[in-house]
Amino acid sequence: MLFQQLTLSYECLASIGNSLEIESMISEVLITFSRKTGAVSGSYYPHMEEKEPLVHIGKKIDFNIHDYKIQRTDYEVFLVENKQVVILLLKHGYLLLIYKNKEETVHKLAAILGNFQYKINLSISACEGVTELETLNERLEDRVFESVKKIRENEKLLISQSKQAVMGEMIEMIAHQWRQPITSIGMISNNILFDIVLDELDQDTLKDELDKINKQVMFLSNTIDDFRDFFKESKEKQEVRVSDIIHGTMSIIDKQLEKHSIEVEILNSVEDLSFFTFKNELIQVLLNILGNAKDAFEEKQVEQRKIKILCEKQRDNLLFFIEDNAGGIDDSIMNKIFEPYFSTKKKKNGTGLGLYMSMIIVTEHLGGEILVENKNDGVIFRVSIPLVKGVSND
Amino acid sequence: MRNYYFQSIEEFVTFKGTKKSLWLLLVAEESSFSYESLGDALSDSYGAIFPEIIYDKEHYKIGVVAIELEKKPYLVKDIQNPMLEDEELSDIESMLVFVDGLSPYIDSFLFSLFEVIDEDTILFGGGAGKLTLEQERVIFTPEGIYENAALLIAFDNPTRVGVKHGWEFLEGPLVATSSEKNILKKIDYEDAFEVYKRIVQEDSGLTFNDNNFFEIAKSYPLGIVTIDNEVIVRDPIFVQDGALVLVGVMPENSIINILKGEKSHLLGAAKQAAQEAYSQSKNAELVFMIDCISRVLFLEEFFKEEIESVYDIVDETPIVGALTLGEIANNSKSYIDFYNKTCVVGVICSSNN
Repeated sequence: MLFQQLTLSYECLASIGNSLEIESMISEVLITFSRKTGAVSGSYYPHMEEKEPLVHIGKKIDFNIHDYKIQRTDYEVFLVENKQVVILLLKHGYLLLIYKNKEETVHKLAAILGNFQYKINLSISACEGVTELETLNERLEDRVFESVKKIRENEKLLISQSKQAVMGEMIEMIAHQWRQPITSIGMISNNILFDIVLDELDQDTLKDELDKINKQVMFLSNTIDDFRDFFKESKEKQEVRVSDIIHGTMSIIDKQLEKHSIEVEILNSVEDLSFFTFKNELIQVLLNILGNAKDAFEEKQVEQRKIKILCEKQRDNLLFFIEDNAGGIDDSIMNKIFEPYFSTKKKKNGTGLGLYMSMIIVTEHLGGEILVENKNDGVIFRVSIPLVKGVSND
Repeated sequence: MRNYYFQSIEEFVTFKGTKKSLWLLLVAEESSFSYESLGDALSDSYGAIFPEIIYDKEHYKIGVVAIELEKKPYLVKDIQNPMLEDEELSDIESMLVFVDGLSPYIDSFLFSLFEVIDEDTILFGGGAGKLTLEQERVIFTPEGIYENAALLIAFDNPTRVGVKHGWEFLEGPLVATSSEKNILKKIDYEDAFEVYKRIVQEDSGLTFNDNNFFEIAKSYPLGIVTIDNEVIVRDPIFVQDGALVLVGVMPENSIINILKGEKSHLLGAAKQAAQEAYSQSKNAELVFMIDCISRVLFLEEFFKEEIESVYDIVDETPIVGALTLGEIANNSKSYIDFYNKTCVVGVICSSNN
């Protein structure tokens, strides 16, 4: 008999705690206990008040624990009609095993099962701990997902705000670009009117004047094309020459720079170098840097205003250096200028998105990097764009 | 309960003619039995194919035992997902169960069956299949022939069951330290076959080679020790990657013994099983003898004595039965056990006693 008891103890003990999922763990325990001890029904109730078991195997037999008085703290045995009921009390709930025709051995079986109370409690705690961790983990995952979603929504908002800000600046730039040709057209038409009044208008003069007006209109039209091109979304990279980028940038902003008495020096040693890029996005970056320089000159009322644009190829990268003499950036804010909504501009246009968007475009869309440092009496931006491999860039 | 032995299925078909009746057929493996070609001839017949069948004092490799039924049997088409209906399986006095004996889902199916049948339902039966030990379609009804299936035959008659095997302890206790369903991978943390081989070769003086595993193993089954000091026998049928493949599951961490057979003890056990069942019976009408085919392989020509000893006990009550791949019984005390190398005797009594 001792051997059978040892066998039973070993087999039952080996069935405890083999899973960290509570239903699976308890199910294995109940199946082993029932089969090894000959129980016809096995159930696990996680709480004393529970009416339905969390796990059940074998026959469905009605038994209400609240009809019986529990006096012990480890196990109880009740004889109910022709059945023998063993209750193994656990931390919060209990295991219920029901036997038939085991009157003689049921107390011994219950005592053997009682020995497993501590180990089963430990295993249940382990399962609960794992469930708690999994729940926490799931919640954390949900929160991370929500945060990422919010970040993406914010980015979309930023891009939209940035475009609006650029639109505002563009309208101002267009106004500057158009001022001179419109003034010219006005002067020419006034001259024609004046000649008509004096009756001095001859055919040749009229033709010359109208040619001049046509040239100005052509200029206006080209300006509109340049701006419209800039606002077109670049869906795919296109092959462009470095000179296209410089020309595209300057055709938009040069009049504005001129108006603010800013001298621009361009040193382009790689004019004919062609490469694949999102053209308008790169132009937007250069415009942002040049626009910031213009605002800095105004803010600090610099006398001799100068911007130097240097383009060169270094190994597999195309580099743009944009240097100004507008006094530089205070060291205390140097590490913040690429953050969203950071702006030093006191008067207008200070959305704080220009350099942030430039950084996003260069690093995430163009795969390059943008750096800034103070130099002499100004600041120098270094924009580096990798030249795409497998495509002729010469 | 009318019952007959026919030498062929065609003989049975001719016998029953156009009479409306329900039949349970136990078909011997070597019979010429092609379910598809029989067509409508089996429109009222349910049954299974077994290595051999038993009728009166004889066992046959060829032929059919036909038993007239009162109730239509219940087919479980897929014992992996049995979907048993409580209503159809309740209020049953006793039940004969034939299951695909080579299915890996027998244990879980019997567990599910135990949950739905009444507490007092007496249950007995065995595993159908062929001695090729290759799983085939062996359970049939008028609708089709299936593998991984079970046939449940309900009786309103009181039934008594006796179960005995007669195998004796050779070596143990050992621990099944790694197992999965019916594959015993490790014994005492070593490859199961290595441990088994060492013990069996030492006792038998024989040496295992690539071709003689079952020839030696049929005399040395494994036994799972139970709290009631009973032993549930498990038959190793072949070796696979150092593991022993058994007929029936081996729960991990089971305490096992290696068993050995003595012809006289096995014959005595069958007699005891018959006594256990018959002594409690009144007005015995029919005896079902479900005996393991490996007992025949072990007892050889002496197996006839086993049937005769049962025949003597049951006072010439007609005997029908099959030599099976695994045996089933519950005695209504606890779970339904799936045995190997065991003799199960079910005595069906007259329903009006």
